Amino acid sequence: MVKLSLQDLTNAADAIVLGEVKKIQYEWSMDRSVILTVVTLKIQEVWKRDFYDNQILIQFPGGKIGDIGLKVSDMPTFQKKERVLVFLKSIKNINDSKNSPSVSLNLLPAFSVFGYAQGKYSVDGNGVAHKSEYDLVSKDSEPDSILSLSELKTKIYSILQQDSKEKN
Amino acid sequence: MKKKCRFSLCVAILIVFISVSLAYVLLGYKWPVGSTEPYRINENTAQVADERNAVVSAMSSWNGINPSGLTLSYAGSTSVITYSYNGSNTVCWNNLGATGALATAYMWYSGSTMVETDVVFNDFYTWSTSGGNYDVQTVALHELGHCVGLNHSSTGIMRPSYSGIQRSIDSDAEAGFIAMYGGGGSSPSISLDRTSLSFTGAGEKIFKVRNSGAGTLSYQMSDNKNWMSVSPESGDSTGEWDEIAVNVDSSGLGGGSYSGTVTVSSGDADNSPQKLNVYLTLKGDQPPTVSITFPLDGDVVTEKITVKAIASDDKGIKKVEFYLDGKLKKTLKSTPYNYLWNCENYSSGSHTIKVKAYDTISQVGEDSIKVIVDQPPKVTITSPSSGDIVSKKVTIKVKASDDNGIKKVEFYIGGKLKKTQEKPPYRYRWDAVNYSGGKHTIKVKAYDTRDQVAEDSIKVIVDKPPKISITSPISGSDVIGNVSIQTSASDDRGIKKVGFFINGHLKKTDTKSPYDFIWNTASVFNGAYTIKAVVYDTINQTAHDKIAVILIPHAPLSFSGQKQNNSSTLLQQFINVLTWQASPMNENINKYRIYRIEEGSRTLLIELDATTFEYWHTDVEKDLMYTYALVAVDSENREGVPANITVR
Repeated sequence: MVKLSLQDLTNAADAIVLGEVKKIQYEWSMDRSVILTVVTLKIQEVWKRDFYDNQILIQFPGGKIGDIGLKVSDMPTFQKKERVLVFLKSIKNINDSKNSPSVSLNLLPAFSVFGYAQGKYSVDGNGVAHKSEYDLVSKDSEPDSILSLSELKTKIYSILQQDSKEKN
Repeated sequence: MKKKCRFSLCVAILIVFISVSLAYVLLGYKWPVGSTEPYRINENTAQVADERNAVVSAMSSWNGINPSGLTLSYAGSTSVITYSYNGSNTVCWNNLGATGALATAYMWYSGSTMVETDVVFNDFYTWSTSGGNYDVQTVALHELGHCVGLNHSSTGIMRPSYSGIQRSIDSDAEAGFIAMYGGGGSSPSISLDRTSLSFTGAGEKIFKVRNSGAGTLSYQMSDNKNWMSVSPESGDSTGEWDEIAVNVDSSGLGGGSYSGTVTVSSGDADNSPQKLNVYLTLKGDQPPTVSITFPLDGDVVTEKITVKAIASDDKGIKKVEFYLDGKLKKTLKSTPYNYLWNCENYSSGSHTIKVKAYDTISQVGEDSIKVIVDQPPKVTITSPSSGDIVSKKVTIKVKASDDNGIKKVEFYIGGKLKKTQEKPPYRYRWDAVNYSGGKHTIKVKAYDTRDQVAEDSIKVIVDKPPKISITSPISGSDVIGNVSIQTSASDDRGIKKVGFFINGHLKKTDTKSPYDFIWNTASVFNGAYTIKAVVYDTINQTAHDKIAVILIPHAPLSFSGQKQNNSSTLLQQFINVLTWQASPMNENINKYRIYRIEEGSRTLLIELDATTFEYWHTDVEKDLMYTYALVAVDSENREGVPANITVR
């Protein structure tokens, strides 16, 4: 993996969402070439982009159906009821057979996690965001791997404002 | 001694802990020991010309640890450009964009056995095989580390982030490999040329077995499914490959995916048994899939909600059933698969919603969630009642209840929050005096512990008190006779009555406008009096006005006069003899005054003490008329009403 800074993640993400994992499903893709994990996320706060729905889908390869499992390196993992902050990329072609789960779930906006495991923070009960899945090396070398949600929000908003000024 | 031993043990444990704290992490599934895994490589990156050699060199690095434990082999080129569960191990390049992932490894497994791996290099990034970044061999070494069964580690080649060229396997990763595949030995060892066989129908396929260890391997075959068989069922190998046929008979099987296992075992081998997975995919009617899209698992629901499900099947959905706590509630044969659930009739707590979808041959797919029913709170204003008329302080009483407890009750007057109460009794003392007359809305909101809200509201009428003033007579004035007491009274909702009091005694109650009273003072003693008018509105709110008046002395009675010749004198004088009597309704009379009235003006003739009731006006003309006014004078020197006579 190439390390992505908070600025990289913020600027490149189509959406940044704080939410709670309500459901995790594993499904074969339409062409049955890959197992997909489909996470239903109940939105609590949206830090980038607007949504009309109060829930979205996060989809990525991996999971287990029956006897067969697929492990994908660098992919994030999600737990039911886990509170997460995720940097998301829209899945633009939901109808391609590899990206589309066999159950037609395209009623909701579908995203992948940008930066794989780097694009996911797990938020604990004290409001502290952890990027522990990716950072196995040293917390000191990753200044934005553990910080409070409010601090993270301030940083991300600052990056977004700066990005907006530069675009204008 | 015991303490010393314990200390030594602690040190030993600590050393062990330190020694493993930086160790490799295993995925939990691996290739069969002794197997050779073929990889096809798509040399499809335009950035370097010898990417295949770099990948094969990485394979060789892993093979160098223990070739008899696992061998990764180059099996030729391929045109595949992405990962896929297709029975073939693939390495390829694909532009995945700036994801941060230089390459991704996809590990398919069944139980603890790896069954297929693919590696996709991200062609978005710049690749090099000549010492620049990103180095193909370094990244291949890392991804193939995943492929042999290693997870990320905090050190060495299996660190998650790229930190420069590293083309050799470090001791940490090597230890992980040896833990899975061993480091060789002197016993026979079972090697299989593959770990799986895939069938799409009936037929026969071959796999190979050999001894990759020392001596002679005597092995036996067994399978665990009645739709497959293996032949021969036993054999010996001193290193040569033996072909084993796996036959699949799909008769009697419906469409779908099946899997079984061929087990190769040997009493001599140090890695017995080894397993070969057999997959059979028969085209046919796939079972349906169904998903509950609303509500979500763990949601709190209340009142009525629409349970929504979506279902799909390659041959079509026959019906969808909705179950609540195991009981069938609704069956739908067409979309939308929505069920209106009235959860008001369900107890608070967890309930299970299950949806079953049936396809045309009654294959079933199902999904279930648990939701928490929490009924909203109930709240009622018990006092005052809607429409009540209030005027002063009023206690608003509220009854609130919830199945899981009330968090708080808020009181609003005219939309403004006035009080929040967290514990019963839920009451608010409202002072309506400060509010304008007319309708006012009292609203209460009750919140339960999940912030569900219920509210009740009523309208009450604030009635302002009436007003009254005595407009006549003027306070402090002198009165006598029929005194007209007039008032000005008003009220926002109407006047019920006005009471007139003289020195505290009710003299008249007037229920109609104009509110006045004629006070006949003829039989009232002279002196100081208080006149009070009290107004009552429709809810008996009162107001009053009070004045003080002086009832002047009444006119003396029987005032009469007669002209007489005073024969007692030689001068033949005429006199007017005036007599009178005291009024019985006069008190505190000090004197009487007699005035002569001529041409509209009067002239004081005499003051007499209060005990005198006769006066001779002497030296009057015989033929002249005389007009007199007699007044009683009280102790305050206040003259009363005159009594008049004319004497001829």
